[in-house]
Amino acid sequence: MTARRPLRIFYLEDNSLIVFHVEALLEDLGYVFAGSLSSFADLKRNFAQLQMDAALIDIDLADGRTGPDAATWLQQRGIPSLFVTGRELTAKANASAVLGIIRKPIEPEQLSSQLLLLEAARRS
Amino acid sequence: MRDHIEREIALRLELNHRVKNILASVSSMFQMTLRGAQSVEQLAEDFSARLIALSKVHSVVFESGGEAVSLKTVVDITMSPYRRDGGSRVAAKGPDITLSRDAGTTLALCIHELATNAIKYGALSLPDGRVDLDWRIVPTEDEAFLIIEWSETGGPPVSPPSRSGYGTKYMRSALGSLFGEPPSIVYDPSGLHCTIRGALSRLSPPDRDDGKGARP
Repeated sequence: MTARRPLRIFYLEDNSLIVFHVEALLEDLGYVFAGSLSSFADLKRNFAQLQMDAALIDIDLADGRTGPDAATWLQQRGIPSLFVTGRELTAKANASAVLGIIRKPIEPEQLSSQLLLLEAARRS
Repeated sequence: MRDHIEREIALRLELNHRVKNILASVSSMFQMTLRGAQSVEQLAEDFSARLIALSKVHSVVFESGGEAVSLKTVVDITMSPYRRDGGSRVAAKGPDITLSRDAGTTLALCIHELATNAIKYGALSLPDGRVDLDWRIVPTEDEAFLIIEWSETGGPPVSPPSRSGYGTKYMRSALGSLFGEPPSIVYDPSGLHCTIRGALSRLSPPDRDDGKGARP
């Protein structure tokens, strides 16, 4: 990641164990963890205070199956994202809202290769 | 007949999704326990205790319909192993509050970490030590907050740990994102004190805002 400021990655997920793990994995990979919230409603409410370059998004959140809407909402604000989900059919049906899909359970290799898509989006 | 088949397919998809989610939770729990483990024995002991805590809260959430659980039930099932030898050493009290599945699961895992720490190093490691676990609702101008206080007394003198372990890190991460703020942990020489605080609106199940006495 050379001398550039590391990418700040936000995580929209309602499962605290998975957030805990992904936070550690992101730090291992040299990214900055930009916080986590559990619902699309909370994201909209707190967006002004959050500092993120990109996001990871679960499909099912605390306020329902709102992950795809959250991805589109962030996309409209210039924030690229990836789905992190076990709901692959819904993820594929909403693929235009994201740059890629990470399957659960998370494999670190898959996470790191998909994160490169977010890096590439920043360069372009 | 077709309706029946479609429903069956939808149920199977949903079940598959839930199983994947549980496997993902367990996998993350294992990976994080592994990071903090000093030996294979410690890894096995800590991981199985965490898995049992997760499994118990899963059962009570399932029994209460799958989407919500009462805080009192979460406290009771999480503290039950530590009450067997001397029931009066852990006193838990507070109003009846309904939590969402995720808030209930997260709180159960946090209370499990506090209890494990108390048994190993804190008040519950000595015969005269005790834990008070109290919760209450505190209204502010805009919204109501749930405040949970864990206080240990009668244990060995407490000093801040040199490095934070799984329990502290998990509580900071989980409560920070789900409850909106990390817990306050005070290493008072006379006993560890932990305060957990979260806006009730973030902890309640989505469809039932009544929360059975949760609103003052």
